[in-house]
This record gives sequence, structure tokens and C-alpha cells, in this order.
Amino acid sequence: MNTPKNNYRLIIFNVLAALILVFIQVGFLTGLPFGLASLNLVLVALVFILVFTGLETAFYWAIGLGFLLDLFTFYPFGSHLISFSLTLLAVFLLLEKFFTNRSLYSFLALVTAASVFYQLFLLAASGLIDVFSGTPGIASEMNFWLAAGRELALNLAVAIAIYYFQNFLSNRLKPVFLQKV
Amino acid sequence: MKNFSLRKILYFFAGIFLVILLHYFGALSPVERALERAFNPFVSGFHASGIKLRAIYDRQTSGLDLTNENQTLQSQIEQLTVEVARLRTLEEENKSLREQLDFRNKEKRQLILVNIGSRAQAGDANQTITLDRGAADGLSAGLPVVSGAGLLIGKIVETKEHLSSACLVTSSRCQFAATVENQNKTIGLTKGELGLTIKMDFIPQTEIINPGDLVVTSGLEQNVPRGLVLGKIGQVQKLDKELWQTATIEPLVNLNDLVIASVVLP
Repeated sequence: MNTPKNNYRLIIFNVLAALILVFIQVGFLTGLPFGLASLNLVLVALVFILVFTGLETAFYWAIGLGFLLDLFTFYPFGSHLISFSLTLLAVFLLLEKFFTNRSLYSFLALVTAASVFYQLFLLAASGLIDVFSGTPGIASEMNFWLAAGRELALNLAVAIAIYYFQNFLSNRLKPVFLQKV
Repeated sequence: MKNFSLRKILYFFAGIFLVILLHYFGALSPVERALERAFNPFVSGFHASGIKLRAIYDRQTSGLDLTNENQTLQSQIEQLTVEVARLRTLEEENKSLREQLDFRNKEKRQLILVNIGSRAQAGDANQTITLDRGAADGLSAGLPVVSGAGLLIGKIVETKEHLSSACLVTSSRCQFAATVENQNKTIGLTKGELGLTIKMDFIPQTEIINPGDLVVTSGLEQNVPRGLVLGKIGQVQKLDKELWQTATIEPLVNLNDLVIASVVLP
């Protein structure tokens, strides 16, 4: 039932989930060993939210997550907000035009595209904001591209895990074949 | 775009640009400050859990070397005990001389305790840490950050109202004016290398430095006092054709396990 009470509950649940996701991304993951700090769990979660709930909900999540990440990281303010939103839009177009089925390969392709788009948009957005604020950009860091590659590999690994987990929980990702009677 | 019109997308982006504009005009500052204050403890708590997991992992992987390490540490403790006793005598002597000369005690440093909230994500390969105190607590760019034992771990590069970002000594962005604790008190400039070690550069060819020599800050830099320990000399690279010799410094603190640190105020 879509009552106002249920709507409020849903909003509170979403806000809490977004906060926990940001705490995990900014606090927990960055303390882990073995290069796991490069995992961009927020981005992978956004791709799954886009696929399962649609662009509108995903946009709200992107704005919330982007705002919080801009607050708790030292990238120029706005770079996460812009790059998450543009990445979502790009991935949504890919989802609508090319990857219309819900196979594992589609998800991996979408997460790959999202990781690449996100890095490019983040670089462009923070570079652009840096130009206005007069500080050196992050692309000048020697390890930037190495870290971006590591992030892509980890994002794909986690996407596989989430895909199979979701497959285990529900039938939404299982293929359906029409049979002739 | 079935369920989502182009107009709606434009509204979303207009909203995003409005938020960014409001931020840069300072209209969002009260909200941002409140959120930073409210959520900082959670971020630090999550980070501490991550560090605990890292410590368990590190213990498992380095368990075999513990016996050897224990023996080495025992012998170091013995040497250090002798050293501490000698230094205490010197300290007392120094104190009494200072009192006689009416010197003000400049050694007492004012420290601010900070929690490490997170390490930077992709971009500089974990060579930046976020501290849970900021400009409102008197922190500013350039101030040194030390570990609990007083060893130098980095320098603040940027501050927000209730947050600061500091580069680690092993980061290529982190430079310090340093002195080798040898006979000549050789000075040079240190810079992080590959996120693993520290390189000391601009050491004149005539200076004699040896592996094992202690390296401390020289005090020639604004806001960084003399005597903060950076590490020990590991290797010395001396080529005749070069104008300067360089040295590799090994940090004495494990920069991966940091949860709490202190900022040295000027």
C-alpha cells in the first residue's frame, strides 16, 4: 500500500542505507588491507539501484551519496555530485539501448562502463572546479590511473558477487523462456 | 526514456547546480558543519573497524617472523634503556642549566588529538588521511601530524570547518626540511616515494651519512618544529657525477595501522 506513512518509512530507510553506504565507503573500506580500499562500492550499488528501481530513484540516491561524499572527502565540492549523476545518465542510456537483458555479462559491462565514465567525469569535474578555485588537480597524481584500474577490477568482482546474491534471493534476474503450447 | 522525461532530468541537474552554487556562496555551511559534526564519529568508528581487520590480516601474514622480531626487539629494548638513562641525566642537567640561565622552556609542544576518519580513495593510492578536526579547532595547512609516540606521520594539506586532510610522509606530495642526527647535522629535503619510503635529497657530496642514522625535522620550515622523528637512514646513494647524494629513509611507524594521531600546533 502506498500510504504517506509507508512513504516516510521508505524515505527514512533509503536515507539510513545511503548513510551506511557512505560510512562503509569512506571509513571502513579505506582501512582494509590488500588494495581493497580501491573498491568503489557506492558506484556498484548505484548501478544495481538503477537497474532494479529505475532512473528516478537512482538519481535521488546519486544526489544524496554525491553530497555526502563531497562533504567527507577532499575532492572539490560538487565533483561527486556531478560525476555520479552524469555516470548514471550514461549507464541508463546504455541499459536502454544496448544491454536490454539482465544477464551477468550485461551487469559486468554496465559496471565497467560506469567505472570508466565515473573516473572520466570525476577527473573532468574536479579539474574544472579546480580551475576556478586555483588548486592543482588530482590527475597530476602519478598513481591516479593505476588506482583507477584497480578500482575497475574490484568493482567487477563485487558486481559478480552482488549479481549471484540477488539471483539467489529472487527470480528477477533469472531468464524466462516462452514455450510453444 | 520511457518513464523519465528530459524535463525531469534537467530539473535534477538544475538542482545539483543549485546545491553546488549554494555551497560556494556559503549558504549551505551551517548544514554542512552540522552533518560533519554529527557523522564524524561514525566515519571514524567504521575506519577503526577496518583498521582492526587490517591488523588481524597483518598478524596472520607476519606470524612466522614474530620470534625473530621478538629477539631483535629485546636487544633494542636493552640498548634503549641504557640510552634513556643517559638522556634523563642530560635532561636534568639541561633543565638546571636552563633555570640558571632563565631560558623559557620551548620544548613543550601543544598537541591536538585527532581521530583518523579515513584514507583517501583512488587518486593518490591511500597516501592521504582525513582527520576529524578542522579549521574550527585551530588546524591549518602546513601543521605537522605525529603518531601517539611522537613520530612524524605527515602534514596537513587542506582544512574544512571540522575536517582536515593530511598527506603521509611517504606521499610524493609531502616534503619536509630535515636533519640527519650525525656529527655534522647534515640537512636536506625529504619527499615520499611510491607510498613506501621517504627519499632525502639535496645532501652535499662532502657529508658523511650512514645507514641507521636518525633523521628529524630541521626546524627550518614554518610551523614544523625541530626534532620530530621522520625515520632511520636505510640506504645512501652517492654517485661521483652527481651534485648531491640521496638517502632512503625508513619510517619508524606503521602508517597503515593509524587510528589516532596528534597535530603539533605552532
